[in-house]
Amino acid sequence: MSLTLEDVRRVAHLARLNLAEDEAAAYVDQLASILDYFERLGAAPTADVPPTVHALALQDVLRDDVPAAGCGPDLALRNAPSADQGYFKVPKVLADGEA
Amino acid sequence: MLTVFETAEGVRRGRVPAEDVMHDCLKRISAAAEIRAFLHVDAERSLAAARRIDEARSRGEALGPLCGVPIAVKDNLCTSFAPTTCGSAMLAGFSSLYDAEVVRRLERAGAIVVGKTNLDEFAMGSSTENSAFGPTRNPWDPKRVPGGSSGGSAAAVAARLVPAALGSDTGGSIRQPAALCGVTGLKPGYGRVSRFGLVAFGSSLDQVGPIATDARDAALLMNILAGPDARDSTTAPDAPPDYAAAIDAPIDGLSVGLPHEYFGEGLSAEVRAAVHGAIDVLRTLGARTKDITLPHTEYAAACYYLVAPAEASSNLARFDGLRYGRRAGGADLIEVYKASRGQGLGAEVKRRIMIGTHALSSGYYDAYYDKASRVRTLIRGDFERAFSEVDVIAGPVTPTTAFCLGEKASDPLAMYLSDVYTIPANLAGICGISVPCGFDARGLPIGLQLMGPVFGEARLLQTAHQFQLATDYHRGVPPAFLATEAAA
Repeated sequence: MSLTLEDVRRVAHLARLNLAEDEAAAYVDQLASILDYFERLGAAPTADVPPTVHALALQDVLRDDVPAAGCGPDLALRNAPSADQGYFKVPKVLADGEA
Repeated sequence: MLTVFETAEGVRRGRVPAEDVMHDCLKRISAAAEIRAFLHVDAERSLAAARRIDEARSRGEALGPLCGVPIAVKDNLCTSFAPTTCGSAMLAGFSSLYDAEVVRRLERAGAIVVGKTNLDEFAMGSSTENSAFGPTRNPWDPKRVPGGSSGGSAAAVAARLVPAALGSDTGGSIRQPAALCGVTGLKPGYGRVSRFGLVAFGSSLDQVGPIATDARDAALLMNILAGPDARDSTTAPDAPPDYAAAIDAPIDGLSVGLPHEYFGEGLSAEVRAAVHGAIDVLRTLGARTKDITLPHTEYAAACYYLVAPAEASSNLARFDGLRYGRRAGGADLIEVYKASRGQGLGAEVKRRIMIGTHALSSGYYDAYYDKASRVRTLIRGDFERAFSEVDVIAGPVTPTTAFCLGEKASDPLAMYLSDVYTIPANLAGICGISVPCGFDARGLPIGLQLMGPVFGEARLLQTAHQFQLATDYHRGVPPAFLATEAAA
């Protein structure tokens, strides 16, 4: 399967990944050869075969709703790259006037 | 070095203080720094924990079944008392708020988590070369990889730095490094061991398990690790058996399936000969062998490298630089995500996120993810049919012995295909164990793989233990570490 630099850039954007020029170029051939390898699945007879999404057939696992102590804001913010007054601080989500 | 069994016995009976055990362990770890098995070692905490056990003993208190046993833990298992990096620059400096359930269980049983071991970034890899903190070296030959992704854990046990370690196995990440390092590694059936606090890679595939020098120690660890956990709703609700008690029974009459797909093209002559030799040993122990077929094996690698990256692309979306982990600057939120992930994640992790994103994206979902999920059903069916005929399945763990650092680094597909014999067990949710069964002409270890039905770990450990009673391969210590081993 042929893959273009454009395809790689599109997937990287969907995956929220910045790629350097040389990085993106290297992925073109690597991903193409991996996608080629996947082509062999086409020969597998799956017409009437249901998908497996989970190895175990466990369903509806229930437990009692018991209140327990939470970790509290100080601990929750321990690894925050940026925090302010008990909140995670992030860049502006909406442009001016968008709210 | 003492085994898990001998250490706990010695400490419990007062033959050796836990503090001495820990001192020796820490000495061996620092002497072996060049193999880079560990990313973090907490000497102070470990010694304090050992002293507490000695004090408890002197007060006549009851001691846990693993009292005083130093254990290394793969660094994708959360610890509140030590960094958890997953081998990624994204998580450099990250400090978990809680302990993984398996870490809690081990320490409640008296074991001491001495440090965190190196791994391929986010457990994605087969050589431990994908760690952002540098590769681990194989103790048998420092020019070679230890396997991966639990390469640090396998190397630490092989070099006899610790009696046992924890790994995680999504497509072979416990069994493959165990084979390449000459130690015993068990991937339990999916749901047998809690994944709470294991940083998720492929949630329908991941499983935590023990790496030890022999099957008896692995069984002792499984007695502590296995069983339901209310905080992991995918754990099986039934109580696990007593693994340590199950291993002593002889395997007379055991039926062992030999899948011809595992002995075909690509398997090196030396690995093939050693695995056949091991199967002969099982026969002399009373096992009956039967030729079987797992006809969809040829699709397993393609199936896995769609399913696992698809799950990974979703799981790793959480590393966005907002609440924890590396944050890079950017004009707006999307740019912050992209820059943080672009800088914080390594090449293989990005590659898999992109494969997974592509496989799940509109227009490709049916051809890739959905198709792979259906092929997965066929692979499960192969094993269901096989286990209606045989008790365990035997074959190689890896096509070759340990390869050289850098040998496969530029060819991701070649690296993926080194997992061809271990991937099917994860897709099917069954258990598998790697047992040392020989050495190649260079003196590099070879592993025998035994696979069992979903909760067949006791039978695997029993078979492995009986094999180890009849063989000495598991006693092999890398020559460079014989002196440290003898001094301990």
